[in-house]
Amino acid sequence: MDIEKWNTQLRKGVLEFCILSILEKKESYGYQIIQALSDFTGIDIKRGTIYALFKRLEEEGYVNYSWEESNAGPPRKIYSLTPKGKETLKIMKKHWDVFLLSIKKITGGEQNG
Amino acid sequence: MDEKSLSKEIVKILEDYLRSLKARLKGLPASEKEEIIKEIRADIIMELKEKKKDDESEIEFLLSTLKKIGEPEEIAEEIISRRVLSFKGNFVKRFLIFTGNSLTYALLGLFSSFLSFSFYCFGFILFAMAIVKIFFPANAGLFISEKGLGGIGIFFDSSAIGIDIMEPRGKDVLGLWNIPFGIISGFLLVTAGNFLTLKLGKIGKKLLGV
Repeated sequence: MDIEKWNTQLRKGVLEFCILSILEKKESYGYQIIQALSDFTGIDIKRGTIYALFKRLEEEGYVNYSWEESNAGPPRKIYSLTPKGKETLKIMKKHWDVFLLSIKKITGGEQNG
Repeated sequence: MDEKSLSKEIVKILEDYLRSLKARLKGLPASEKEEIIKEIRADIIMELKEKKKDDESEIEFLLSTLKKIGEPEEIAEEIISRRVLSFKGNFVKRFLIFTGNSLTYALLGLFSSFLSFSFYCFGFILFAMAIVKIFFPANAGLFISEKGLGGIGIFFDSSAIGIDIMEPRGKDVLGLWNIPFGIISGFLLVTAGNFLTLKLGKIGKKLLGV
């Protein structure tokens, strides 16, 4: 088993969850989300992956965007969470908690009896 | 830091990168390509503005940012492969965009090569006819009988290169004029073949939004 690959796959699996969580805190530009992801996960996920993911989340109605005029440069694309995105995030969090608990049980089973 | 206030060199590197990326976003709708490029451009400019260290030159920073973002091939491949999987699960749309594109490419390619091949062949025959006319005046030319066009090309008893329409072929009507006729029309046909291939290529590109 390629441990690096496994690690990347693991993180890729929760990308959507992370993006929605970041947007729940505040609306953000694409590059801020990318920055936050690499800060939190400590892994540089390919930008192409992320831009494609933004597009998909937007098409599926989880995020909204608008072009924000800026006097310091060209218009910037800013993303925010839609009501559907918020709802989905809530459900994701529940699943996540259950998942974490199960993993803990499995990996720490003997200690906990 | 407006794009206008960036140095020419910076703008050139950035725009070259984006152009190269856009060229590789094949198969995506034109509007989506535009939007992706617009977003990435704004993001990079913003990064330049916010994160450049004072002691770092703009160019150094831009180059390291682009390196971090990845080669255009890599990022485009990533975007496209992700988008293929995500066209709202709409099989028909996906099929049309991806299979359709490659199919149209293949058909258009076949058609244009067939077309230009025929033009080249016929052009070559006319050239050859003009040359053979010099050495075997009776066996080459544009033959017309009482019933109409008999044939164009080179005709010997046992073999023919050209278009043999009917027997008897009749008489050659152009005589030595066949030589300039063959050379000029041969040249025109080859040129037309080139032109058509080029035009078809452009039409294909436009059609597919690449």
